[in-house]
Amino acid sequence: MNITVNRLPDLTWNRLGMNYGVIRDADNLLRQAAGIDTTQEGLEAGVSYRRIGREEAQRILDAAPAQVPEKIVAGKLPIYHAQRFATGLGGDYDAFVAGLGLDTELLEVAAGERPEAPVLWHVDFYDSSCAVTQQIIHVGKNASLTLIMDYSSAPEACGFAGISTKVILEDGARLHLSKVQMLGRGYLHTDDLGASLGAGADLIFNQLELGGEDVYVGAQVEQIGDKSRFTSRLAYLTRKKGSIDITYNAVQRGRKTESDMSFDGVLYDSAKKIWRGTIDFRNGSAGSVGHENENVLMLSEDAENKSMPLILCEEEDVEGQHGSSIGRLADDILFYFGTRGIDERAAEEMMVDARIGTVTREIPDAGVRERIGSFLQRTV
Amino acid sequence: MAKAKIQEVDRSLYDFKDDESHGFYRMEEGLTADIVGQISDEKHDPDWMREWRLYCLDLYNQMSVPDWGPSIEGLDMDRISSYVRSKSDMKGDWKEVPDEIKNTFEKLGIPQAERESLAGVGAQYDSELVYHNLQEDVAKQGVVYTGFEEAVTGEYSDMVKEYFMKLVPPTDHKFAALHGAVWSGGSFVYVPKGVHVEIPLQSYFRLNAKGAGQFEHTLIIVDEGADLHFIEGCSAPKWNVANLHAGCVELYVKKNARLRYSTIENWSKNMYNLNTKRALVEEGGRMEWVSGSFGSHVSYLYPTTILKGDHSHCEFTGITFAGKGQNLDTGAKMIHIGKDTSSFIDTKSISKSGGISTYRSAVVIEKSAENAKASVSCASLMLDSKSRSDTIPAMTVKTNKADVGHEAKIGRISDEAVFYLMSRGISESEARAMIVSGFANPVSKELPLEYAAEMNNLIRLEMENG
Repeated sequence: MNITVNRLPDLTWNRLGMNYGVIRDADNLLRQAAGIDTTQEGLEAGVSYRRIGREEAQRILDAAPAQVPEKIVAGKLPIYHAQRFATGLGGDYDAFVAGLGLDTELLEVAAGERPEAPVLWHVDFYDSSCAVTQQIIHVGKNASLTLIMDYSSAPEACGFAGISTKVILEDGARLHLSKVQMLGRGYLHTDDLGASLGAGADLIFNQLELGGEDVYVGAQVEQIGDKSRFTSRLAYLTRKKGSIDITYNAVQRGRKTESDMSFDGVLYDSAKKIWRGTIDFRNGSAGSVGHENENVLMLSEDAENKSMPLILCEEEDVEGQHGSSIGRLADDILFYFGTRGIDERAAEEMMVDARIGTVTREIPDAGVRERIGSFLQRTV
Repeated sequence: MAKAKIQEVDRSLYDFKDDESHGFYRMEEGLTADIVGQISDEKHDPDWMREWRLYCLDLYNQMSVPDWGPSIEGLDMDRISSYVRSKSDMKGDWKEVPDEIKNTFEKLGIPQAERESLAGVGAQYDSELVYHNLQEDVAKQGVVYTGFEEAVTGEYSDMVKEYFMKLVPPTDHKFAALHGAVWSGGSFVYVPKGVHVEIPLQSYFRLNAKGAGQFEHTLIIVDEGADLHFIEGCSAPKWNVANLHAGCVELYVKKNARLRYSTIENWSKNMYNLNTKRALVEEGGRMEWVSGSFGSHVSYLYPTTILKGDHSHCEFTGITFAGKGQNLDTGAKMIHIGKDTSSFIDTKSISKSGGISTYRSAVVIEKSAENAKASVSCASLMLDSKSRSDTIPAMTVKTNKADVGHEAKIGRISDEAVFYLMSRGISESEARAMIVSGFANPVSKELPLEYAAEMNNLIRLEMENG
């Protein structure tokens, strides 16, 4: 059995091989996968953590700001996919995780609570594990939270590390979420995010994908409330014969919403990458603004990059913009470094540091930043 | 700021119909081996072409319609006649063309354009060419511009056989296979080595018949160091049933040659425009596409350029204007194979009154395309919230020795710009029309003056205050 993930919201030529990603032999994963213990640090007053069953998890998701059921756009062949609480990897992956029958971890911040210290959420997959973890992050009205989730394993380990995170931000809520993946280089890694934003809610999402062999990352952020904001920074390194398949969808439904997504990546060796980034202005999103930007540094002649930046629009009064740059280091940059005695290899290392550093610096915990530095020294 | 009411375009300029009851031959509707055989009989196809058509029909029957893009559910091939012939054979003098057909082209301004600014003209009415002419001094340079069917059976038959549907194979997609089975009419152009054709050639396609298809084939070969500008125009009256256009354009740009291919597409709003255009560019060659898409109910149109030769180059400049009842899915594809190749795509799209405009593209940099450079710029303008505008660009890069850039923008007419113009005594509707014309300017400035004027006229009509 294969699982289709990261489906493009509006399909294009099949021969390009970019309409969706496929996780092969998922039935094998389903047989082997189990839950995994996670640890949380920094749970202050007003922040609670507990494990809940499937029915309670569903009740919480159903109570989230209403997501309009997806529709078929008149005159267009299939556009959008039906999912009650939409996520980036999509419905098949959601069903796969549900099929495991695992508990959901629920982290809640009570209305009006604004703990200052970040919550650190650590998942260690050790070696050769095949494990899945799912959580709901629920931030109450006018509350805020800083949450750092990191996934690690033994350096040379292989296995399957599956994550499913659903975020509910009530009106006026704010979440600064960082996800840092530092798995061993043999891992199949899946990380799915779905988020529902109320009026004035603010989601800042930093994601670092540094390890693993085959990585599938998806995020769908439903900006339902007026004036909700979504800011994301994703950085990745893909090496050897590794691959990364990324989908980010900012679905702007409320009035005067803002989205700003940036993606920085480095491809080494014979690495392959597919990225799909969508700004989706729905009817009613008047006054909204969306930006996305992608930079890919290809450091090997055997690397392969595929990019798909979509802007979908059914509202007049909006402003959307996309920019991307793909290739090697520009000659003028190399010349600049050369005039200062820095050779091409050193210049490339500096540019890699700069790309990863842009996201690393946004992670508000010195210990995690230090571990990222150690991981990069060890692996790159 | 109060908005001006935007009216639908006045298409009366193009929406006149000729009576089909006298002297027209119309094949029965549907698509069968018998019908395809009848087309071969009509055209006195050589054996290889007769077999080719049946092979393509078989492919067509095996292939599926696309599972992406605009819906074509309203297109029923059992209600389309693949071949309609007027009572005229092809003529080389407008005086010999029957009056009602000549009047059609007079209304469209084709004979006048030929007199004033063209080196040669081909005029197709329904399934057949009715007029074809090339200026004598251009012909003396060895330039060949003839009906495609003449080329298939005449002195260029070997050349046609070598190139026909090699660039767009019938296996490419369902409507390429359909074209291979029922193609009719079209033009063949050959420009010899080193010849620069100083003024453009033009083919104009008019589909008058109700519930019919037009499947013309255009094959252009611009030999080494030669230069040509070819213009394609098309229109049809509006019927209350679906019409189909599934033409095919194959362009060969040889070493250091240059070809500019300009199109103003203004089919009626009952037309399914499923057209395929492709160019192959050899070393140092230069391909330029200028494309304006204004008509059709549904369009799938993505001119493709294969930059095979080292140092070859392509530019695509396009505009799409989707109004009420239109779903126009347009864009371009660039395939970089040679070293030091470069491409530039610059498109504009405008959506209004419930129209759907989709920009779709693919830039592929193959591993062999060292030092390739590709740049894509697309801008969309939404004129109301009943409409839709999507941007779906794909980029595949298989070498790190390449630079690929992309930028896309979507937005509306700025209130500040309208206010600025109004403060200088310009009415709101004029101000909005001026801004839209300015938005389209990168395309219109690439067209010959009279075609730029036609395009601006279409935009002005779209924007006119009710």
